[in-house]
Amino acid sequence: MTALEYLPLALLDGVVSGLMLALVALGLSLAFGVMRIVNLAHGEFYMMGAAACLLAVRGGLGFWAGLLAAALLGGALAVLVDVSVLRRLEYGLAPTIIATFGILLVLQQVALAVIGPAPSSVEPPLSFLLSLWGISYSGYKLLVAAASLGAALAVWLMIRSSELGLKMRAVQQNRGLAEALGIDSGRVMTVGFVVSGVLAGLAGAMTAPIRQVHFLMGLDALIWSFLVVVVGGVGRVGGTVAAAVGIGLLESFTALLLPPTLSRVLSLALVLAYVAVRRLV
Amino acid sequence: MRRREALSSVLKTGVAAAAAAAAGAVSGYFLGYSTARPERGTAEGGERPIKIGFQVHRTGIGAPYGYWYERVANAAVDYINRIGGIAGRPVQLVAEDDETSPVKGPQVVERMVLVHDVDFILGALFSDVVLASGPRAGELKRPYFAVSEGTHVPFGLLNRWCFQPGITDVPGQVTAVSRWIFENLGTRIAMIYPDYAFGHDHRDALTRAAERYGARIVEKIPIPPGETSFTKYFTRIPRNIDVLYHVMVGDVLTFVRELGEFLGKDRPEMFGFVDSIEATPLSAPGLEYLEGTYFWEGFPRYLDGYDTRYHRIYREAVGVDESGADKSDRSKVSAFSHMFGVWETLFVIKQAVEQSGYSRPTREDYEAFVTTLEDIDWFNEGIWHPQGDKLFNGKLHQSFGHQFVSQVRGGRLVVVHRTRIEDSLYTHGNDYTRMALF
Repeated sequence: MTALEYLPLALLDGVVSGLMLALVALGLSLAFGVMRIVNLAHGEFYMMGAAACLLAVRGGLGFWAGLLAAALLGGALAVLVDVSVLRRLEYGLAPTIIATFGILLVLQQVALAVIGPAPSSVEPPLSFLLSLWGISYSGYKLLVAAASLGAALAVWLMIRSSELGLKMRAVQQNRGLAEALGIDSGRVMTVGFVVSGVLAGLAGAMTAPIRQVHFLMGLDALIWSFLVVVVGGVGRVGGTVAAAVGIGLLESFTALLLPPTLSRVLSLALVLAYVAVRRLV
Repeated sequence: MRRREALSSVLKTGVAAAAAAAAGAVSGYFLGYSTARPERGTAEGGERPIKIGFQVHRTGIGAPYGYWYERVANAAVDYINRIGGIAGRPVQLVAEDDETSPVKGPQVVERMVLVHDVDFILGALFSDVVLASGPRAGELKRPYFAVSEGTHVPFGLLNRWCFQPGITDVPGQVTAVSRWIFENLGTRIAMIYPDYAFGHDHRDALTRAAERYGARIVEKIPIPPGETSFTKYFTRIPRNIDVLYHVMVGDVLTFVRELGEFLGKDRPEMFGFVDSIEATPLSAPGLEYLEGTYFWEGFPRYLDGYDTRYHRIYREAVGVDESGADKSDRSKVSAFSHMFGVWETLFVIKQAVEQSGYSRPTREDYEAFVTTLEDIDWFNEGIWHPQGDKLFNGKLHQSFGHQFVSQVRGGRLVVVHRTRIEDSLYTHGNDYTRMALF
């Protein structure tokens, strides 16, 4: 009875949490999926975005200025990391993993020093509750979900239809050939990575009024982002969104029927099974 | 003074390690001083200070607590040194970050003993770190003082070297306040708690108390560690309950906001443990929903909740204002319900050293220290124990004390009830005194 009663809520919450997850994963989908840069600091870019938003709100600049600051900070961090570290390592897989893990630790400690160890929260820019089918739900969350869809669409269009997207795919598929055709591969990588950083920063700022801002919030985001990108199929932005929503729904429905920890275990086991089976067929 | 000058010139020569070792061989405790913070008000005669190792959560998930634990430890050591130290000897605190990690914790314990040669170890808060560190302290034969609330010490999961005299444990706290909950808020309870040791302590203690007083736990909702979104689990909260009991450490601001969205105005009574909002201002956006709900407090965040002379002296010493915030930065809220445990523990060490005649880390001295502490059965309220008097159970190595029930009114915590020590007592078969010390 109870489970049935909450079916609409489970559906709504599953989709919305899925889209929020997709928003965080989108930048990684671009950097890792399309350009094969394994950026372990992606979650920290996201955390820094949330922290920038928090500081802007605390400083009296308001949420929207915070959103802008987060995007700028995300982009700036990406430029810094790319130029000073990744480019020198020539984006090699193992060195990049180790270097970006180091950057993860550095950014975490910077955040600890700047925003302190205690969790903080940000007032949503608009706060209203929607009442649907006898359940109430945060309007701001729905807004973030919509923004996530919009961002995913924009990234998809960029990769598919823009010149930059074409160059990015070209560089990824055959760097030498792309360069022979006059594509400045270094610049393409940098621009792509910056877009990824901006997306991470924006995601952090947008989730700041929903999730608490904390210097350790990036790690969880990173793990889930990788999961979603891998499940959705590396290099497929649409797949990332579909996987995120799928996982959101799976978690939401299993939580209706099973004790919380068991539901978490089951939903992750199903995700693993899906990845394993997909490789077989 | 000459020693320190000698050391700095040695360091300048660039052969620091070898020279320092040579110097150490020449003058016994030379190396001991090399990492020392300059002591204030030290006793004369260059006597070796009492060294207390401090395993502190400077980084990692415990950092909000760690900051305050360290601040209180420094304040207590300063205070002790001003009143003549311990047994006339100065006290020196050697603090190291354990990253709130059960891997790093035992390593810090090792370094405390093998590198710093401390007399005692002031231990951790987070239960996983305590559970990992206690056994290593036992192997290395150094008294280890947890300030954790966990049940590992009283329930016999550790060893005779581990004590928790400065703070009460979760079963004691829950036993004390649950009766008040059942009598004042209702007897049909749903509980939300984190699905690991700390949450399980709450679950078990509340379940036992409910059996004892005829209340019913209608639904138990354990939340997986690391969860950041909760709405999906709220669907398990039954509609016809009197009280929602919550101990959500972790993403509490998200938790409260989503709970508000889910339950709305038509909600049951709510009782929480202040652990979830320690070091967090009640004015944080999203916490308005807590207005009118109740919390356990270990020591009231607002001075007027328990305004005594000793409490004022303690609050002044640790630099916290009347609302529980940092005096020099009022946006920083203290971990007031827990950090007093660090203060009181350091004074317990002082008392036990002075009563036992402990002087050096030797077998005889530790035997005297441990058995003396085990024989203590009461701590009087005072500057040494500002939170209140405490009953100490030498078999369990655990203190039992007063607890506070507070209500959120007008965005602040207002104490509505102070429990008696008797209310918190429980029985347990553990007896550390039967365990061999060496």
